[in-house]
Amino acid sequence: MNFSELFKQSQFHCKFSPDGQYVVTCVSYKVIVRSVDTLQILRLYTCLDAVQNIEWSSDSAFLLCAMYKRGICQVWSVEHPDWTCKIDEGSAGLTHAQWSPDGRHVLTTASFNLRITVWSLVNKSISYIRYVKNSKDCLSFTDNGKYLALAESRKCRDCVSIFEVESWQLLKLFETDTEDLSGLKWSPDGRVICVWDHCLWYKLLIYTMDGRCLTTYKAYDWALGVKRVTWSPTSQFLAVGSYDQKVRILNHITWKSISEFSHISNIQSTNAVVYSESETKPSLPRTENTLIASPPIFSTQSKYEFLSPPIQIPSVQPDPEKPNPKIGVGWLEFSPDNKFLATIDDSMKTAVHIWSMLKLSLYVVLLQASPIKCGTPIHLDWHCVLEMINSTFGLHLGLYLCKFQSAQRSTFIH
Amino acid sequence: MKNGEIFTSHFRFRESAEAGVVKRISSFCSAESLPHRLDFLDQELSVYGYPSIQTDEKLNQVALVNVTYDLLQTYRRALESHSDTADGLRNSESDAARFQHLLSLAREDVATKDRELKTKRIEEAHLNQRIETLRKKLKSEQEKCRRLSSEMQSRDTQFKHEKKKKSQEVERMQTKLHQLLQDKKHERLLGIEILNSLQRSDGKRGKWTTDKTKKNNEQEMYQLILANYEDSQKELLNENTAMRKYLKQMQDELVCALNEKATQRDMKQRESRRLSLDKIDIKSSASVSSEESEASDSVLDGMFEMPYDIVKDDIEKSLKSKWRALRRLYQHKNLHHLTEEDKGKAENKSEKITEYEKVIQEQQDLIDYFTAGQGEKSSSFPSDAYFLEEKSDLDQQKSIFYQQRLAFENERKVYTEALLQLGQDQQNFEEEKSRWLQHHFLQLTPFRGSSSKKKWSSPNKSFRDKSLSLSWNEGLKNHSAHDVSPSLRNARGQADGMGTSGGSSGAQPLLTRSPNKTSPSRSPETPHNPWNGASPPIPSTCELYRALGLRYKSSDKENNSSTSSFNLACTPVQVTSCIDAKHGNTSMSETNLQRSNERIPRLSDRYYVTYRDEALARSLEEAESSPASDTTDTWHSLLDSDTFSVSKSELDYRQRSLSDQILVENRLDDSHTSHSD
Repeated sequence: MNFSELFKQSQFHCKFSPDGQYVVTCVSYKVIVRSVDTLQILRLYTCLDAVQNIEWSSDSAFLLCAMYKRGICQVWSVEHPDWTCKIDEGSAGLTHAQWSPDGRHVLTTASFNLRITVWSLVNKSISYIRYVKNSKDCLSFTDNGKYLALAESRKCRDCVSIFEVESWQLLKLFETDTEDLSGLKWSPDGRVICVWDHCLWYKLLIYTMDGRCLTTYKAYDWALGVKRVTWSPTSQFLAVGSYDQKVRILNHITWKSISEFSHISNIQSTNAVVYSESETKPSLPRTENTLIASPPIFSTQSKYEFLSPPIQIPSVQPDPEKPNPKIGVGWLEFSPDNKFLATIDDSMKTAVHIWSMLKLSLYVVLLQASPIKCGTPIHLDWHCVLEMINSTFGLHLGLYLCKFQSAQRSTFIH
Repeated sequence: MKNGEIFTSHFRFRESAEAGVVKRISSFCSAESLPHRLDFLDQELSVYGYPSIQTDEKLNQVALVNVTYDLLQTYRRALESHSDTADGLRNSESDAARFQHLLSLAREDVATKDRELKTKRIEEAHLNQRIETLRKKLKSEQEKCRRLSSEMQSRDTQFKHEKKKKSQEVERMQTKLHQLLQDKKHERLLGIEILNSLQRSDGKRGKWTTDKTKKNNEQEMYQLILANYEDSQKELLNENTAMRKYLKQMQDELVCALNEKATQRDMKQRESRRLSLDKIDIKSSASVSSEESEASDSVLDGMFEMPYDIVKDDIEKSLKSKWRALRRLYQHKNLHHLTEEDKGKAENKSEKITEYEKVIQEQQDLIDYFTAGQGEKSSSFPSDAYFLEEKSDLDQQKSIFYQQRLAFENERKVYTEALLQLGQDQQNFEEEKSRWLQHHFLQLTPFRGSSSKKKWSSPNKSFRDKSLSLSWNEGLKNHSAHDVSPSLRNARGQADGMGTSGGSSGAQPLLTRSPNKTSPSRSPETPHNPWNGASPPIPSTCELYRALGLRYKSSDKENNSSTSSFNLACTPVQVTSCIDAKHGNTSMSETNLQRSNERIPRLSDRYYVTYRDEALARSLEEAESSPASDTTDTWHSLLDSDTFSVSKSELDYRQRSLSDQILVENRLDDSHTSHSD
């Protein structure tokens, strides 16, 4: 494993293109596109302001740079560096900007969730979508990019509208049986939409595209409910992380709970393997070090070590006085082969629980040396994790959970 | 009384007391008032049932004494009973005190218990109160909870309402804002500044959005939904067929298992019927088999392809019955096996186990012995116990063998000595004889019996000598021969051979081991009688002894008891002692001899035994090449004495026989001479 020299970046804005040819980094208002093979700078764009979000189009031909403060977006073409495009939301303000799956439309969300504006780069047409609940969780495209499901609140009633992406035609609008819809997600096969209520009410609903409610799932009442929902890659499982520090797995036919994974800070069972990251600070940086990113991490070397149960995972009990308690499963991800589920409980920020979906039990616990930060993109390298799980020499594989901490530079691994 | 003054004050006091008594007594009656007092006394006594002490107005002294004695007795008894009752009273008083104490204790106990009870009651009351309060609290809490929940609900509804209002407001505001923004935007035209429009990613041109396209889109959506449903249905179908297939497979396997079991069962049943076992069992098994047949009926394959709701009951029923049958079979099989085959097996196995345990124990013992035996010898003893009997037998036989050997050695020694002595004696005798012959020769005429004497004496003598020496040699050589005294036999044989007709001598018991028996000593003479023709008085042993100048103690006895049943124990020793006395053999002490006397019979018996087991003895000798050194000295001495005594007696016998012969010869000579005379 070789490491490149360090490249400057700001606010973790560092993204690979979907086709894997380019990598883009932002340094304040400068946008640098490099070739992945040579890491040489291919393009250098200068935005009007410090870039706050950067996004590749699905065909890797365009870059969307959002400057929320200014309420404008800039689009850059990798092919034609001279081509320019500026989208100005104007006085409505800008809170979110994203590509549509076809890569020819930009969706911008105005402040106060006033509307979502669809800007067409093909014919400069503008479409408005109103009554949006929120643009982050309430907007979901199907994997094939043909349909958009959007949660709306019309006349104080939660609705889901289905749009045909190509024509932005509203195909279907149906009300949902929710108090305060807070999120929806298409299943990866595009058959159903999972809708969940606000955390005050544990309620999960499955709808087909034409608005038929397939099931309503309720694990408990009163207590804070659903925190995060994730589909398995094959759409066979729906993992629901909630504030009670449990993950519930739902079946895709009967929509009944298959299993409950409890995140307990005290691991007693001998079935689960616990890897603990131990950091050592060598005088010389080594090339074998698998750490990615920032220079301070370079100075430390970390490796995973076995721990034998019982193990006490450091956990922080949240303050009940404060809203949005830092507890419950806030991050879940299935492995690409559908066999494992990785979860992070917000009260145990240093631990990544990896559950076996075949045995429906806790399989591995990765104990990080430092807490995994919220709000930063969490990337779990499943390939390496699975390799580590399956390998007998799993102690020196290092840190696979890439934490884009307060680093100002990025390093890329070859 | 008067000299009491010189005594101590104590005595004085006593005296004064006595004086007081005397005074008191004397005050009752005086010489003058005696009759009155007597009357009074008489009356008083009569009151107590005593007879009158007065007879004819006079004092009956005897009666008075009797009465007084009786009174005294009564008084003493009364005193005794008084002391007894006093004791009893004291006892009862102490008892009473004790009981009083116990009572007080019990009262205290009761009091404490009462107090405790009271406290408990108070506590109970407290607790009850607390319970009450808690109940009240609970009630209040429940009420509170109810109130709170209702409150919460109301607040919730209120909140929802407020939220609704707010969201409506927000909506209104948003629409307003939207309108305002749109108006503004219209002013500023588009918010998008683009260098040149892009082509669509698929390279196609954009389409006009018409109603047709809209409808098309909708249709497409529904088609997609339909396709999705179809896909899911296909999935379900696949799952369903897989399930059905598996169900069928399971049924097949069940049927197969049941059939196997059934065939086995039928076999067993047939056997059991042949053995005419319990009818009930057969009945039950028959019922089971009927059920089984029902159970083993497999549902047709097509049934599994039927709509499940139709065939559901049938399939469930058949599968259930199958399972039940299988379970019953399994249980039955278990029981059956346990009852019949496994029992025997188990027994066998348990037996084997016990055997193996024994073997293991033995091995363990051996190991222990070999490991511990090197350290200490004492531990080796128990394991030796297995061969203890054999060992003891061996020891016994060994000791016997050594005894025999010693005995024979001694015997040999004695024999050699005796032989030497005998040789000397013979020489002496020869000399005497020659002298005697010379004397006779000188007395007799030169023709008188000289030829006959020579005829008889010389060959006889030479033969006798020869035979004797031979016998001795033989005896020395074959000291382990059957007979204790081979020489004796030889001697007798010789004696027989000396006689022309040895008919009756053959009848003599050969194995008579007591040399002092008269019959063998006499027997050699019997053949001479017919030869003599006349019947000269056969000389008794004692006569012979007397003739030989030997002292024969038992001669009187022999004379007395013509049956000549001798005490085996005493005679030989006496004889030997005589021999000892004669030959001056002082090697043996008198005590030894006496001791040996007691042992002879037993020893002689043993000789029988041991000589019969001579082969064994020899083998033992071969095995035990080492000289016997562990036999005790006492045994040595005993054996010595025994053998010695025996040999001596034999010797004695031989000597006697010899002397007999000599006597016979002499007599013959005499007779010759007399005949010739």
